[in-house]
Amino acid sequence: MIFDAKVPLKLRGIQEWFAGIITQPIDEDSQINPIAPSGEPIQREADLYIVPSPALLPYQRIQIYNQQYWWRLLTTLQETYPLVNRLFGHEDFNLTIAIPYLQKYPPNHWSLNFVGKYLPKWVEEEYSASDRLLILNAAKIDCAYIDSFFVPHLTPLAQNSLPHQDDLSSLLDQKLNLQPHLHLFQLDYDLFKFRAEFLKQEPDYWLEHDFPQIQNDKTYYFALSRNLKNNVVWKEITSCEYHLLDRFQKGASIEEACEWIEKQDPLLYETAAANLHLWFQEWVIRQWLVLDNGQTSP
Amino acid sequence: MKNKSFPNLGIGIGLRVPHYDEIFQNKPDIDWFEIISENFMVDGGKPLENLEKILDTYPVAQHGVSLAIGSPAPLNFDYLKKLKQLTKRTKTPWVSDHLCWGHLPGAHYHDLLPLPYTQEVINYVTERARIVQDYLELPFALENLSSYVAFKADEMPEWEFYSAIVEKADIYMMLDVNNIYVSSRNHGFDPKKYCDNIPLDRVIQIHLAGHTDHGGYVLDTHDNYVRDDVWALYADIYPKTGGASTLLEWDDNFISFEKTWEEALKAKQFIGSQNADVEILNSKS
Repeated sequence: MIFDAKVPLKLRGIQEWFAGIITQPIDEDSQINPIAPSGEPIQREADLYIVPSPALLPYQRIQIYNQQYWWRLLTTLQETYPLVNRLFGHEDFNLTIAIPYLQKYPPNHWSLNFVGKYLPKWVEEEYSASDRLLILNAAKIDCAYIDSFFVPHLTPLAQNSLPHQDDLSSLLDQKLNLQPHLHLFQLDYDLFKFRAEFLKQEPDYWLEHDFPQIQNDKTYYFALSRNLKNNVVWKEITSCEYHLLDRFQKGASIEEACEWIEKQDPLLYETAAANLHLWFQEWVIRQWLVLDNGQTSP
Repeated sequence: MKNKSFPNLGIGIGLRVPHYDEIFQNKPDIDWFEIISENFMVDGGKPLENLEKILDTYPVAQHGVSLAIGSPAPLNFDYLKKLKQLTKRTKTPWVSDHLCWGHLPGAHYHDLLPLPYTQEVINYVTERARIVQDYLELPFALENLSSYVAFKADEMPEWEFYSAIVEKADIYMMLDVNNIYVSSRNHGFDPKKYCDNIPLDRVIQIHLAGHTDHGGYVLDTHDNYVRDDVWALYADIYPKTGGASTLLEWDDNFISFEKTWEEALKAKQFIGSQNADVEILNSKS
């Protein structure tokens, strides 16, 4: 933690005290914690730093900032994690997920877009209820939507670099990668269709209505990405497509990806061999593939 | 007096997502838009696509919320670099942000937090403001806050503090008239005294907005029509600035674009005959 060498010590002292007060969670009635982090009553401590107004005592004045801090961050998390938010409902989401998350991972970036960046990590580390896997997958999907919305689109592997639509031989040993906005998912249930239905209603609707049905008859594979109109969209894909794309995301060439699949499952390899040229065309048209030549996301 | 090299962009509104459809479909005849810089300091996607559509038709000025110039951490040059890159894209005539603090090393509070009004803080902020303006290579303006606390450490009233910084740093004012009113209610001072004691010739842009009166305090909510008291302050200040670009902020409980624009245009009744020598740029010329 590096402070500016020229910051006046009195200013820094006030700011550190102020930050300690406003980052303490407000209670269920949105009231300030009666005890400051120092252990002293907030009413007494606020008197040391803040003058009263004609209508408000010092602790009531800093309470305004305390409320704004939490309301702003909680609203941001509710909006950026709409699936997780609806699974819990606003109030329970705040108490069970958002507030404990923000206490462990308070914001440290100037952009509000990053406030929820570590929420899937927090779920993995701290959430232990019986629906843990569902909540974790929901968090990962919500997080991927935000990520896909903002990350760059790198120069794609172009259609005119394919010498012939059925002949990928010139690209076989070329290391590939995926657009940073492309996220792959392997799930035991169709959480994307569920999410789409779920988000049609406001969070409080689901407190009084049954959740939509969730299909869990097989393993599902999905690709989430930003399309050419800059909209974030999802697509169900086959397991073979998933595994090929996953290898490319790890920087494999076509040859390396196919070799890997053959070792895992000869039947899957046959599927790949039969369909790769068509899939590859589609992925090039969607601009999902990039040459792994050092292009990076900032 | 007023540095006439600054363009008077006319009357504008803050660019907000709920109004995008209306703006992109109908291309309303609005003078200019203000954008929140941080919303477009991203690496790709819809925000930049939408920004380019706006820039095709309208002048834009940038206003930030995360610089937090009075914070005790070193100036963030990663942030400033992205901010400067955005100014090249938008061709904004100036950059503004708030006279506040908002982070400690390793922690961001995503709010505009008030500074104590002391000589030490004036010296600290002045030096940082000069560095920011020099780095951006554009006029840099600081906005007065709505504030809800006053510190025991305060050595002077807000208007003295604000004036001292902009004059010492040789920067400009992004004067929020609603914030003057809100703060005057929260701290019990006369808003006219505030206006009479700041260098109005340094004002290059004015903000107007609505607020919420909670009785014991007034909150700067930007979710309502501009109150009459604020219009009265604006009417008093505007001619003394020599003509400054005027912007209506509306950030929550949105009304239609048309109604928002109607509200902004009320400013015309205070601009009109008092500014024979003010050039109001035609946004489409």
